[in-house]
Amino acid sequence: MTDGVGVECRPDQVQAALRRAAVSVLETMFFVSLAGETEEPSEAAPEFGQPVRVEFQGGCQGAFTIRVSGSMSCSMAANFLAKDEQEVDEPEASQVVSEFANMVCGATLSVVAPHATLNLSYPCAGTGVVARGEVYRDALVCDCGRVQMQLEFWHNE
Amino acid sequence: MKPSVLIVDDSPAMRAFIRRVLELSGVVMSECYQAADGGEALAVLRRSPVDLVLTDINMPGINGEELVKLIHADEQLNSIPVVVVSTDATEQRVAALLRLGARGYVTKPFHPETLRADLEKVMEAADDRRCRG
Ligand SMILES: [Mg+2]
Repeated sequence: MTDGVGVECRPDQVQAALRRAAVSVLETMFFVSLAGETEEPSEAAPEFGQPVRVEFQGGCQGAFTIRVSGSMSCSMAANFLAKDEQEVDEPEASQVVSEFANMVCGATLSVVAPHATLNLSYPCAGTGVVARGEVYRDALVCDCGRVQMQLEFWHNE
Repeated sequence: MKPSVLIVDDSPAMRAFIRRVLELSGVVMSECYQAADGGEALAVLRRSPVDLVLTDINMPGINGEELVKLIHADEQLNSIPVVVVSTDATEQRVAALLRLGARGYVTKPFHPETLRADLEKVMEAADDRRCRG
């Protein structure tokens, strides 16, 4: 068990649930597949877009932050909206990344804290927020770009 | 029967996606209305005939949970089946929404086939109710 309030899994299970949720959301909702290779989560390279952050409260508290490489947000939006990449504008791409963050966060928490009552915030730009509490990171290399994710559980002060 | 469907979600991208998934999965709709929150949804329901409502939970203004309650409490509207489409699959949330009157609960991410099968079940149950009612 982790110390995260409401979390009912061991740390390795949380890590695995995060990966499974992200892959499942990418495949079923955005028609994006993993490129096979994975990479160590690291400091975000400049080609990554703005981080998007969803905070959660209720049975457990914390935040989920996601960064997607520039080309990838465009491909995801094109797939999601059934448009050509050239037709996707900036607001659409950011809306789609927000939906992605919301779904990965919700799907992960539903697995690791199935008995908690959760309230997710609206996704928002999450620049410059330092991670705290118990932190899980993951990075995915996909057929159309890269994703970096961070899930934090905060403890009651 | 070709149902007329109302999709309620604060994200225009998600509304467009759900509409496309319905079409791709072979659901032929006579009409597909959209609303960005519960208030807009109620306005559509009061002026247009709708056979099925698909609603998100997390929305500004009247959210999905309140919308389910309001539809359930309204004699003019409570025969319309409401299906919740949400990322939140925690047991308490699903149970709470079904208790409030939702007839189905689909969690995101979903496969198009799953969505279609779930909606067909809900529509059939609604027809049964109407016949019995
Ligand atoms: Mg929403």
